[in-house]
Amino acid sequence: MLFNSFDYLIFLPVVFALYWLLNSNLKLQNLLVLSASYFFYGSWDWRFLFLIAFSTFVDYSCSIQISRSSRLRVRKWWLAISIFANLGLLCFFKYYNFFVDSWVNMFASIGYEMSPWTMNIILPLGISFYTFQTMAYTIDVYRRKIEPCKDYIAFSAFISFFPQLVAGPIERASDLLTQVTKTRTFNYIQSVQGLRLILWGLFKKVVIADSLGKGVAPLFNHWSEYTGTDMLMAGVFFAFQMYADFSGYADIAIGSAKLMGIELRSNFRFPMFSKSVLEFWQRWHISLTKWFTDYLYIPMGGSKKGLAIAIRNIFIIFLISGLWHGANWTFIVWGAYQAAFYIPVFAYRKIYGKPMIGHIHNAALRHIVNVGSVVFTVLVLSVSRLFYRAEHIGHSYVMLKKMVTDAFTPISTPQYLWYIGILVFIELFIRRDERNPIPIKNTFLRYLYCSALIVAILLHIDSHNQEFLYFQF
Amino acid sequence: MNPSVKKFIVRVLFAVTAFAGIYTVFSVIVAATTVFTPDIESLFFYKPYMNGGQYQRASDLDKWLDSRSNSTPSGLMLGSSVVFLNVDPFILGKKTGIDFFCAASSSQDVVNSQHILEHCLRSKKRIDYIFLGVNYARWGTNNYESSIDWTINNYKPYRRYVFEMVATCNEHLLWMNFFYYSIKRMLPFGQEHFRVEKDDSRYMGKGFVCYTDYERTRKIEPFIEVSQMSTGNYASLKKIITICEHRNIKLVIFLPKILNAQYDSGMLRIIKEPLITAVTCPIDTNLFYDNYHLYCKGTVSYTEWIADKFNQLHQYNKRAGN
Repeated sequence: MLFNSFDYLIFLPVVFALYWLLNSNLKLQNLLVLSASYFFYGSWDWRFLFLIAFSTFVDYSCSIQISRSSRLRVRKWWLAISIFANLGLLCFFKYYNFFVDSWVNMFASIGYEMSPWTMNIILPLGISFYTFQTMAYTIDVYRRKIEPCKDYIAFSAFISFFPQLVAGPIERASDLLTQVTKTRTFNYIQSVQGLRLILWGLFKKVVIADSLGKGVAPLFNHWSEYTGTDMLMAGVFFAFQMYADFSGYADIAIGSAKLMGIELRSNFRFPMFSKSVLEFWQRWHISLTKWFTDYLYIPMGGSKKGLAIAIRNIFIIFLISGLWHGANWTFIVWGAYQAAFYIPVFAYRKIYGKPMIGHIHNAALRHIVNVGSVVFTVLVLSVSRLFYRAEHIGHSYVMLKKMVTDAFTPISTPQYLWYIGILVFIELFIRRDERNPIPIKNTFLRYLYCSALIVAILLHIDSHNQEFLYFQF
Repeated sequence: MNPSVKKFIVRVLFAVTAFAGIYTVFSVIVAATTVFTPDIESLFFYKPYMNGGQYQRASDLDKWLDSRSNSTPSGLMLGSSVVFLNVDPFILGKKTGIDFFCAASSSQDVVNSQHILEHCLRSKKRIDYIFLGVNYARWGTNNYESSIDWTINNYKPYRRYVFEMVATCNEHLLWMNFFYYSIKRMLPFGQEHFRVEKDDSRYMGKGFVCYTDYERTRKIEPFIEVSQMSTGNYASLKKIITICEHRNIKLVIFLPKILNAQYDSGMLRIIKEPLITAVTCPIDTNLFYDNYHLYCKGTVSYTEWIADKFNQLHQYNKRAGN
């Protein structure tokens, strides 16, 4: 069941109505959330339910065992079981074939032929997201940051909470679980904000992302028929498509949760206006960046053991982040590319204590440099998307080569720039606050604006609903 | 229920109503712009077109329904382009003595044929025969194309049979166009800007359209897959049969000739009504410009063959006392 489908248009109001009818009984309400979430998830493939149920059971049990023991070795043992179970699931379903193929290819390159033992494995939807969420919970219990949840229904509802189950935001137990275990109160303003977020998210997904996707596909699939500038445009279109698609999903998820009186964390803060790759990663997929920071970067020493160690850690995190995004060498190269632009800015700030623009005192010049930085960052990110979207390294290489050797040629599909222009205009001049997508005070103008968004959505929505791009992770 | 929840629901309902009002005003404004330019309408809605004769057919159908003739029996032809492009109602009428009108449209399935039949029966015109073309290569599909045709190429789309087509198809773009064109064609202003196509079809009258012989490029596919009849089409077929039985209308079901289609004779088992199977029609296949449709000159012999079969069936039924 996709957020941009008629099924969800029926599902959400039904769940909303039943949810608030059961408000006097927290346990029943959480049971409803759990049932609705399993129904939502099972609508893709009922077999996926066994995996999430298994992951839930393992982490519930391990966290209770961790909290019961004061012996460090026992606590570590239960933590290891939880991490092994979750990572084991993730590695098997997501990376098994990748590692087998890479292993076989490596030996083939030195002349040793092996028969591959690949399997026809279906990647369960959202597995990268909910396994990270459950691992975070168990680690937090181990670190004594939170108490384990004894209510199995509430815990299961926390893990499988349908608005954020499939593509985040990756929530922490200290945020989401505490809300699930407490009585919720209907908040009129919160619910209205939720509806506005859903509308804005749908607009970004259906109108901007899916339209840009139609321009992106032929550029990547038939790249030889296009110019060098088209290759750059392919990256630009895909970068904005990814942003509109993923942030659109996040907005609908946050909006849906608000309708149930639950606040999810923001996952995007206008990342396409970032002035550097470092700033981009502070504004893009914030929950994943935070997860890597808290559970990998800091345990590895973070920035506390000197600049060289910090740089090493950042580089490793980006490689892992690349691998998290997909089981392909293109994602690992993408991660390394990101690190190559992130690390210099990070190092400069560490050494000088402020960003490079901090040395410019002239306001007009600062403004020009800011705008230039944003454009440069968008171009850097757009090039990185060539690795992201390409089927294999060779594919991205030929597109990059064409971009360089056939530069300054006309754009074949300029019409898609309109969609980027509309998105940038709205985000820059109308939206401004990422939690309040429709900050128009005048009632008539607000209704007019919302109607325009709805008409645009209806004109663009496809009866063959386009999946969200981040579902593949 | 919590008063805040009630307030929220009321606010949502108000917003939906406000949207409907704004959309209505928006439709009126877009319709008004057609006086000056077709571009704004084209941005948001489908453009009407002359190709296929649907615009003329919709108004001619109403004129035919309003016409009265006590001496000549009347016949309604229904179906898709395998009817309105291939079967000439003038020739069919001349050879059978029945005043036929062809209320077929592009990809029109049995469901939409049922809606049109019910519309025609609501008029005062007596209908004696139904000639129902069933495209067995396409009867698993939905009726989107036909519903669009009857909506945007219709001088009066705000009528029950069009609404029923739109509601059955239930596609959001179809609803938007239905709403817009209903408003536009109710207004005294508003110009029609037809899509201009390099087209060689001619509307001949009585719902019949013809392609001239030498301009259309011939393209024949080596294999046409035949789909299963959808449950909707099957239900509509049964409904049409029931309507005809109750109204004493003689129904003839027509299976067209489709080149290289795997014709399933098993479907005959579900159709107990009089049947004309043009699958075995001995027409020169070079007269087809694609697997489904005939050049203009091909429609003559094809229709004459159908007319002979029709008359044989009619005589058979007369002798059988039907």
